[in-house]
Amino acid sequence: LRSEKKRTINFESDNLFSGKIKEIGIISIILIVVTTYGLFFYQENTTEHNIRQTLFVQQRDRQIESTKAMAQHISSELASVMSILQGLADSAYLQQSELYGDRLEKLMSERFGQINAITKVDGLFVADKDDIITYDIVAPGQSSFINIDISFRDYVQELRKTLRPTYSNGFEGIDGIYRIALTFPIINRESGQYIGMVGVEIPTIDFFAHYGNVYNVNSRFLVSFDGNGTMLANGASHSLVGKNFFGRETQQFINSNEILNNLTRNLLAGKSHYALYDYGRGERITTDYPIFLQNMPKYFIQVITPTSQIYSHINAVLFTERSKIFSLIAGTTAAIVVLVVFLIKWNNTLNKEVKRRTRELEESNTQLSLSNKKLALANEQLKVHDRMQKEFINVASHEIKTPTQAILGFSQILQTHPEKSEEIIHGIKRNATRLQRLTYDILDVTKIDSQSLKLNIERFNLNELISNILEDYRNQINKANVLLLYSPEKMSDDASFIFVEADKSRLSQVIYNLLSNASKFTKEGAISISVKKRIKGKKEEAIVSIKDTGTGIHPEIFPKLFSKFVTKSDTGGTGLGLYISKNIIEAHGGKMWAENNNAYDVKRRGSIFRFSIPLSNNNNNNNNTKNYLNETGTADKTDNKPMG
Amino acid sequence: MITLNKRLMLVDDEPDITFSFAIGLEDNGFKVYTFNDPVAALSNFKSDSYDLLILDIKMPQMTGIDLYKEIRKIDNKVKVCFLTAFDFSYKDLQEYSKWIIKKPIANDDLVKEVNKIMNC
Repeated sequence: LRSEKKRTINFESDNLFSGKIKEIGIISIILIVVTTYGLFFYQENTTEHNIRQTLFVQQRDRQIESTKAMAQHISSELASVMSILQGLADSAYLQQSELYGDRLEKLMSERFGQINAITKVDGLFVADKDDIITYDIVAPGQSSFINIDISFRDYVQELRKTLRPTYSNGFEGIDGIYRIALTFPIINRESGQYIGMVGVEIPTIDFFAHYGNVYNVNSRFLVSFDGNGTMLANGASHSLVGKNFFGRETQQFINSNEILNNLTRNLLAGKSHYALYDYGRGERITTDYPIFLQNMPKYFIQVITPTSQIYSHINAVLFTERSKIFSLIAGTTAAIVVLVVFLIKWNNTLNKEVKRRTRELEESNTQLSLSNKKLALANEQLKVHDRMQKEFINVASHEIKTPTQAILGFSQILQTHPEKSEEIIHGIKRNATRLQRLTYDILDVTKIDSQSLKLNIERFNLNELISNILEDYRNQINKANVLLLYSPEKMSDDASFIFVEADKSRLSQVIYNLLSNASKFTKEGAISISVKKRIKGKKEEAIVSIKDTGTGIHPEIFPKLFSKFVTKSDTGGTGLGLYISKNIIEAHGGKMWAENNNAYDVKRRGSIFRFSIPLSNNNNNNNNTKNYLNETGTADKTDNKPMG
Repeated sequence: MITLNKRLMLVDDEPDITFSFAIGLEDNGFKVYTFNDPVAALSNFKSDSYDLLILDIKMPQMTGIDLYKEIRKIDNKVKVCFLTAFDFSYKDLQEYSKWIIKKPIANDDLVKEVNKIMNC
């Protein structure tokens, strides 16, 4: 049991320990999760910052590249247009100064088509050596300039001066549209004589719109310049087209931003670069590149992007990435949480199961030790019973052998000593009676011990039974100097009816036995019997007392008075009477006890034997009772006659 | 004085038993002194007065064994035989005497047993 207890205590402490571990485990998990998330967000921020920087640089470099590519593209297309113009100038008609007429028309319209396939031009014209336009083809909606003197145009003067192909700066037409002109001189190959020029006029906004956004300031847009710094197209504002970058109006527009001014100044000097600046309309990045023609920077482009646009793009990319990572981590965390919850649940279930089984084990252990104890007790009782049984058999056989020996001896000497026959026959009879009594008593004891004593219960008046016994007893016993007194209950009128439900003959046996014992030890004085009612708990019972004035109960005998074979040997009893009597009374639900009468005269102090017996439930108000009284009527007499 | 009759002391608390045993033994030439009270028997015992003592075991005032011990204090030579109706405790008795007679026993068997002891 002790070890079981220890085990239980250990188990409980294990439980406590696992509880602590659980707490520590949960706190640790929370700490790990929080730390991991903190680190993750810190790392993510650092990484995102780096990524943002890198992506920005990438975007910038890409813009630089694309700006350069755009400049080269524009350059090559303008060169293509110029080469078509050269082809025209070299054509037979123009070489032969045939500057108008039907034959030219066909060639011109053919070339006009070719040029328009490259880029949209407003008109293709031929001017003579006096700068008068002799022929032109114009785009739909444009008016013809035939016979108009164009000598006032800068590019005409430049061409006349250099006699080389000319890419003009921007100029405003009489229709208000800003244009550039590409012209090629017509010089006779043989004479070297200047014949005139062939050229195209290109509307700058439309032209550059072909390469980039020149309309919407809110996204990436294009600004282009001619060699003077005059703007040919500007996505920020169309009103700035034709205005010089360093002019008052533009500077006002850009808030005289130094970075942008430096950048543009450098660009116009032929050096390309990039810059980040903000002149009050949000941060922008500008990349630029000169458009080289005939190995000279002739035009310039700037590509301008609001950085917010770049960043929003980067952020969109980062957001997607972040979403991916967050989803991954959230998913992992959720999986871990589910796993932890599952583990905790599982652990709880296991704990409960272990507890339940331990409890069951403890219970069955307790029951086992209990039943072991019961078994041990039963075994002990069996042993005691067995020992008592053996002892009983031994004593009983001894007791039987004694009268048997006497009878055997008497019967042998009867033959040899006939003169003593009377004495011998008396002896035989005495011992035969003793043997008979012993046999009955042993039979009763056997019934009691094997719990097979049967009672024939009937309802009768106890007073009447005692009266009858006394009547018989008086006839059997003849003792002149011993009074036999009987005092039944006299508390009320019908007190003489003490009805009990009992085995009449067994109860008689008890009373006879007690009377006989009293008589044996009483040489003189009185044997008195009394019956009293008393209430015990909810039940009524009768107390029968048999008091004598004999020698009293010997102190050695007293403790084992009601045991088997306890007797004063010289009295001739079997030593079983009190044992049987007590058991008969107990079988009726009563009790038997004895005491020594504390009288003054030691010699006559005597003993009192009492027994209780439950009363019949309907002791009162019973018609049969009254009839019974009328018939017998002797129960209330006090019998104080001497026994003889 | 030389006497031919062997003298026996018979102690048993049952008078009916001593009565028939005494008659049976005396019919066979023994002189039997019976006592139903071991205390009286002890007080009447004198050294060299008996050839054999036959003692019952279970007696109220004094057991046969106690009586034997007391007698041995007076006489350590006299033959003693126990008489018992008990089935057990022979070994205990054999510590004191090798002669044990079991009750019940017929008178002639008793005489045979006593003669056997006498001839030892």
